[in-house]
Amino acid sequence: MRKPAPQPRLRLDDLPTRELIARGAALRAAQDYKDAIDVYKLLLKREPQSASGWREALATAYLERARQLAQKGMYREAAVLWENLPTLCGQTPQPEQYLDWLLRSGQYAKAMRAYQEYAARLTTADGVETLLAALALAGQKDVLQALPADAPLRTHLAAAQAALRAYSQGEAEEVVRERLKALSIRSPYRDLRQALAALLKLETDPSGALILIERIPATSPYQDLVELVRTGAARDPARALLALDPALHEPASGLLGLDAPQLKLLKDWARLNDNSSDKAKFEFITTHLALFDREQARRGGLALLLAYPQGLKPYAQQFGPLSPFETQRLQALRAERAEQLADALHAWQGCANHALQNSSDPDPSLTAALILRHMAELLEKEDSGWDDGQRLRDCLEQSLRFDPDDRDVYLRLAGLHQAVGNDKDCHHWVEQAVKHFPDDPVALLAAVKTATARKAHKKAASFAARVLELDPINSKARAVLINAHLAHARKQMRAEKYVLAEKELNSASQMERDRIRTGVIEINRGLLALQQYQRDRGRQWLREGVRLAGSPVLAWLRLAVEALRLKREPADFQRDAELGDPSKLSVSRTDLLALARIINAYHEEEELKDLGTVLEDLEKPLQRAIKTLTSEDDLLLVCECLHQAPHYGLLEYAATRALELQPHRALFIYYQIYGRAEGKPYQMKGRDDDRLEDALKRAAAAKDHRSAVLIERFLMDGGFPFRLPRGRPRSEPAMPQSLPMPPKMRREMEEIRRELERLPPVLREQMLNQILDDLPPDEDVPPEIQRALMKTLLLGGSIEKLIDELPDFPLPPQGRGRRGT
Amino acid sequence: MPNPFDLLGVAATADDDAIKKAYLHQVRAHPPERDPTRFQAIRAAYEAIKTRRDRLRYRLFQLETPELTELAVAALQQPGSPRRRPSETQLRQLLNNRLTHPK
Repeated sequence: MRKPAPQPRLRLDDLPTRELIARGAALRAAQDYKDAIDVYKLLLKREPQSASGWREALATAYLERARQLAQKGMYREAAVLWENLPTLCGQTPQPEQYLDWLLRSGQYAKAMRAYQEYAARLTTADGVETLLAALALAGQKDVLQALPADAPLRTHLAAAQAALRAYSQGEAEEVVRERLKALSIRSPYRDLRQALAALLKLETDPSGALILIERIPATSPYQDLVELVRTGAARDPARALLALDPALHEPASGLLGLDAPQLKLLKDWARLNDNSSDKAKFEFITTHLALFDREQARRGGLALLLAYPQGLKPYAQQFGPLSPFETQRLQALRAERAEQLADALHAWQGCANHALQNSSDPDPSLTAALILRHMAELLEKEDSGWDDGQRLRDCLEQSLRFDPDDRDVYLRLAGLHQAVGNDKDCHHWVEQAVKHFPDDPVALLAAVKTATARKAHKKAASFAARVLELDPINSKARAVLINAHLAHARKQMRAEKYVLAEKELNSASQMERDRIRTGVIEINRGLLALQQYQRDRGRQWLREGVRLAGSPVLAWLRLAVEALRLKREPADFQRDAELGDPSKLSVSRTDLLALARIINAYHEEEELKDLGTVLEDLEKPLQRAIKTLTSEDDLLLVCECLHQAPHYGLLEYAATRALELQPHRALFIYYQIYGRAEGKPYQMKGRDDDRLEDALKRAAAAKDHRSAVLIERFLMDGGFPFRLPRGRPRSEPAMPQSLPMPPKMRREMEEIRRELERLPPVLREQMLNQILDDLPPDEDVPPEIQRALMKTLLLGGSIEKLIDELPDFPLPPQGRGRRGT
Repeated sequence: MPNPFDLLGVAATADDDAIKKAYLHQVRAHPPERDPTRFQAIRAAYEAIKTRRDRLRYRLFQLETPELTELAVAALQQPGSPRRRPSETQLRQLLNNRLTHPK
């Protein structure tokens, strides 16, 4: 669209008078005095009959503009503006300000003439007289020549000079005080009297000196003397000196008793502030080395070598050559700065080796351990994925050999093993953490988690109980303990050990404080009773559980989850629990959000595989409830929960509803497509593929990292290696260099490959075909693609090349089948 | 991040107790409700050098260019020469500067 041409700006001359008046008033109100002056000048020219009004306004605008300039330090310009006032407006308002500006811009002769001319009209002559007095004292004697001989400015000058001289020449305190007495409180030199008295006091009573300077106004020309007093009386004078105006360095250094090298340092410090390059800093250290603590200076110099490697030679001259350890350390840090990971890791490894060999290191093992952990951090940041994090884990494991007292490293190792599906090692490291830190709630809670994951509920409960002993209000441990008792109860129920199950439920009930698992214990009691054919008791407990759950839909969810955990059908207990047909339930917004939170809580507690199935029976009422949602936050919560559950149909439904409110939000687009494709990228329709690519771009542009990561993972990981994102050049590999796979599988592949290589070609082909024929069918991958991939893997060919050559294969037959997982 | 030792006002050789004491002193002087930015910096400095392990880690891996203020302060704190009053010329000069180059 073409941009409309800007309207020509009206010249002031073209404006009617009425508008000019309004504009003048507006400009003054907006403190735009510069333009206001132009307006009033024009009005004055256009309507001379009402000139007095415009003159008044023009005078104000001139004066205010002059003040604005003076505030910026443009005293000469301010004075020139003021000088226009008599001619244009016939006024000379506030002459004391004009005088002040003249003095401050060094126009002393003019100032004295103005002083004489306006003497009778000076309302606040004090400031001007103090300035004139200071000028006279500073040596500008001509400023006083025009004044009468009996003017205090002239009569008090000699006394002021005498006092200044007496102080500067180091006269005794009493002598200086005597001289100061000659200056009365009304004298134009009274600020000097105060400042000198304070400087004198500084020698014996610094805090008393600070009280004396309080009476000197901030605009006084003696403020530099005030600064000297403040610096001398500061709690840390050396630090105050460093912050002082360089012009005051010399007098201040005398007051504080600095010698010549210290003064030189102070001056260089001021220069350093103007040029704080690493080179300048390094030279500052070497120049003033004699004044510094040698070790501190060495450390400072060493740290600067990182950014200023040219300083290595002078450093070696001053402090001796760098140790091999420090040389490697600097290399490593420099490589880190340059983001050269391989070089950094190599240098750090060398550094750790030197630390262990170096007898002068007070704690070589800890140094080596910390270096190895740092290497692990670097590897983690890089996350190339080429070795499944093996080197990272090796670094951490090795570090524990040198320093076993780091809980977080044990838990980190456990987490890393868990991430690659190595539960055995994960458990091992958690056990090690607990062994080394038996009273650490964090280690114990990790142990609870792994024990729960391994279905070792008794063990989990004992760890959780220990946490509660150490920290009785730890709600996480309490929840884990209750869940452990519940899980154990279910196990006993499944094994038909009812007494033991009852005992576990009683234990869970005793632990329950906040009724956060509303109704779960009661429902389990009901199920237990029903299992023992105690129908009335069972019904009673189930109904109590339903009541505690808060609403029918929440009760149904609780009942369904608990029934499925016992491998029973929820519908079997529908009547006993007095819950109607779940598909006819009415679900309010509050119920829906509570349900989402409960599902999320289930996920946090333990992995539940039946949640999607549980939601099947609630699909219709949930759809009705989702339809009523109007808040983006509510829909987001619901979508997240359905994404986790997962329930693809409801997720698509909720995301579609959300997109009605927020049509372009990348996250909702992702949820909708994810639901529609049932979490399988290859089931995506072409149009959705494009939409998702666009959503990814939008999310990246909006720095919506979470959405971008979810979409990218779905597009890349799920679809890998059979698709390339739209618009990505084929020559640019979009996926890792090798297929991600567990280390064990990688090793086995490698072994088979080596075996095949040993065989003669004919036999190799035969054996290969046999392996490929024995491949188990994969419902997601066509057999020919599966064979091609496996063949490439076993013969060590290029996966990337193969992917480039692969044709798009047809999608598996469509059909939703059973929802959920 | 400024040098945590300087920020807390402790020597580079200070131990856990001295650092904790300095930290508490600084927190009292700059409570979070009055000076939240300074408090955060103090807190970060304390976390960086709280234990022997932290201090060693800081020394091994710090990448920041060092602050030289403490070095300069220590140099200026050393006894130099006897204290002396500013000369008459210096004081006149200051007055002149202030009048001709007002701040």
